[in-house]
Amino acid sequence: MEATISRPAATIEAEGITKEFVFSGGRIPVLDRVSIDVPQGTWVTIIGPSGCGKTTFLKILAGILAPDSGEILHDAQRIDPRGKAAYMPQSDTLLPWRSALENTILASEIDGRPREAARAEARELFTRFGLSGFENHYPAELSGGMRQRLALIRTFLAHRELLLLDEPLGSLDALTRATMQEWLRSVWEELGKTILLVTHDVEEAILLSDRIYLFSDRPAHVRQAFAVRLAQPRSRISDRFVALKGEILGLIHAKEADG
Amino acid sequence: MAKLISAYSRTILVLILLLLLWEGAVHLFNVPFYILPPPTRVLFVFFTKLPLLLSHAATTILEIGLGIFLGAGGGIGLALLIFYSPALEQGIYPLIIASQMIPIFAIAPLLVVWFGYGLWSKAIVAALIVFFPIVVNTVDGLRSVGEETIDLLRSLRASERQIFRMVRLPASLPFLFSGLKIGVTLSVVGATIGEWIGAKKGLGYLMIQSNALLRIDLVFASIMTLSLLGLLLFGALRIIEQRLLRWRTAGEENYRTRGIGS
Repeated sequence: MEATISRPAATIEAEGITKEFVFSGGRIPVLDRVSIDVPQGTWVTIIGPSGCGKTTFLKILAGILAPDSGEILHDAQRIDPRGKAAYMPQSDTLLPWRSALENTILASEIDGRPREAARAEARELFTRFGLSGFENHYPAELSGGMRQRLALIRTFLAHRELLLLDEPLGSLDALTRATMQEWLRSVWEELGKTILLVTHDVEEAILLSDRIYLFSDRPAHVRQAFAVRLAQPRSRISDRFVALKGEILGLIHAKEADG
Repeated sequence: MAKLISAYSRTILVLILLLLLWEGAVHLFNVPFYILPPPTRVLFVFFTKLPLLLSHAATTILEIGLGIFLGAGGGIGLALLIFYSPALEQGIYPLIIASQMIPIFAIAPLLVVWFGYGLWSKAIVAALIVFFPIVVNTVDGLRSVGEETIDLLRSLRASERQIFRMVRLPASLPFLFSGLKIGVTLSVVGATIGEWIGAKKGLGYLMIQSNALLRIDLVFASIMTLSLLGLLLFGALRIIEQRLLRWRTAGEENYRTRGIGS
């Protein structure tokens, strides 16, 4: 099923990632030989049941966790993923004592880039992300949607080619969420990054991605990959959208036959 | 000041009522002033003996200041060691908690034997009292940072030092201030007790001396000075805390206004 998807030169690949958590009471296998490709400049989404190991997989790509086996390749070269991607955790993890602006330059500060340049760059994105005027507010003074956008600015400003987004819209209400999805897609097209998104929202996946990987229950493996060939902007009620959604949902609800 | 008075207007009202009750009772039952002086007499003594009270207060302030410095410095240092070394945590932390079962006032006479009648024995009593709330609160503060925040910083290749400076230190400051506020209040008690046991100067010493001479009015004036001293220290800490941790109140105000709006 992978044969239909061509592979550009600079692709980030995860090859046979296996991970289990060992604790005093036993061991839980979380990932079972997961392999995915994320071609440069594309939007790839992982969907799967909650608790299936999506977040663990993302943390391995972010270099926070080490896999038991398997490797991460960039351009067919094996790499240490630590520090290579910009990771956005599930909760916004904004630092409450820093103003909105200072929160977004976190990565620049860690990398030792000059602060004034980083701030100037951040201010531009505040305008682009509809947050101008809130630079000096503390995160506690912002709404959920604004905090999420702030965390996204921080992720963009990490200056990494690959962005790893763990349910970035998960905590938002349905209405805000729909607006943010459209908006996120347009921002992404403008900024030209590579995105790997984790979600359990099938519509969100189809709306945003070029490619979707469907994960199984724990221990997760890739059940199927879908290439989404729908023109942007996508309509949730177009026939092809609905058909693809039906296909994926059918697969999720059908008990696994392929083991 | 006007703001302060309006904020505490009810407290001030209750205080005045209590003082009036005290004043009335003393006169009504004809209590001799060497047993229980009325508040007006305490106030009179407080102002007429102010130079004497202040010169003793200076000694007590020095002891408390030194005690807080030693206690807080040692407490923060040990909290860092406990946080960063699991071996030290297992070895020392239970002992520190158990040590709090020893009443510090019981070993105060020993400290006077070891460190003499001067400044140091009282400073060490105060330091021992300040120490514990600082250690416990600072350790809790260092641990308060969420795992996801640490993950985020690690994914950006932040060093342990950067993680400390950017996250753990600011996150533990509110906890440190809670510890300091408890510690500072207790340090006044610690220094006073140290002075009761053996001293040449200080408000605790003045109380014991006045008590022996049945100068109860002066005892009350000393108590008043000590209370004011404690309040002043506490207030100063609150001001520093509010300046340093402005982000905390910013959030609270927002929750309040948001609560009304929605």
